[in-house]
Amino acid sequence: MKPLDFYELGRRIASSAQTEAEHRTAINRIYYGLHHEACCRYFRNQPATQALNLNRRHTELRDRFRDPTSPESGEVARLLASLMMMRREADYQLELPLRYQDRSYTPERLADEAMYVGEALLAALELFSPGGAADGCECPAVYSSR
Amino acid sequence: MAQVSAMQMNRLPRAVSLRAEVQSRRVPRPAVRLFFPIQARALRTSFRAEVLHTIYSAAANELGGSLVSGSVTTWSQPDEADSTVLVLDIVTDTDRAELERVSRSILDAIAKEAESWTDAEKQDYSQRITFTLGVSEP
Repeated sequence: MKPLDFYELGRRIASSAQTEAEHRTAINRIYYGLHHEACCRYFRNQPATQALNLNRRHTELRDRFRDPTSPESGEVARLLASLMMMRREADYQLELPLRYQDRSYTPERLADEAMYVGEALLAALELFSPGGAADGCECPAVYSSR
Repeated sequence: MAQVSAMQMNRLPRAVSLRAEVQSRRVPRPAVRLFFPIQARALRTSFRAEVLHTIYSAAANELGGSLVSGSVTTWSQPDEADSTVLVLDIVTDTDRAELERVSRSILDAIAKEAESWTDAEKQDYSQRITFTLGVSEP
């Protein structure tokens, strides 16, 4: 499967969601689809770089995009960070309201926000490294003490 | 909430009319706007505060009266050690299409500042500072 299959599933769930669990699951799938997609495009663009540390692969990927000298890369990092925040709320904060941008959200509104941010992230990834990730693309990650 | 006309507002005590004004806007903008720059100036002794100030100033320049609020919080990824970042949340009342342009201006301002940063400062920025951009009525 392709990384964006998760993303498309998340969007489908969000568009037909009836329950809180479905809204939360939509956010999770949108994030994971774009996490894998961003990772595959990063290593396609920077093939010689070190694999991610599996103990902190989410923050390490975000931080690698956050190159202060590259606005294109920085935009990917900003949007990826926003989705990480939403995903943490959706998966770990079972008591309402959910919080994002220092404000309260319902799961439905946060899923809408995740869809907007997801679309913007895909557009930013196209500028960074055009073309979707291939079938079966795996993000290079190893356990490391660093 | 009952609507209060301009004529009625003039007859109300100031505290009441202020409350009506704030409720009608939903966000008490002047208080929030004033808060962050004062806070940032007080913190500008550190690199991270300087960077947050750069981000906020670039957003304020770009957004003008459309800037609703700016607030700083910390955030960390579950199950990932040493992942705490400072997050500057910027809320606007512009439309979503404008956010990309505003973000680009902020990131251009960071790139300009980064020309004078050491490698350690660049790494600190990458690992410790981020910002979000959103609209007040999504």
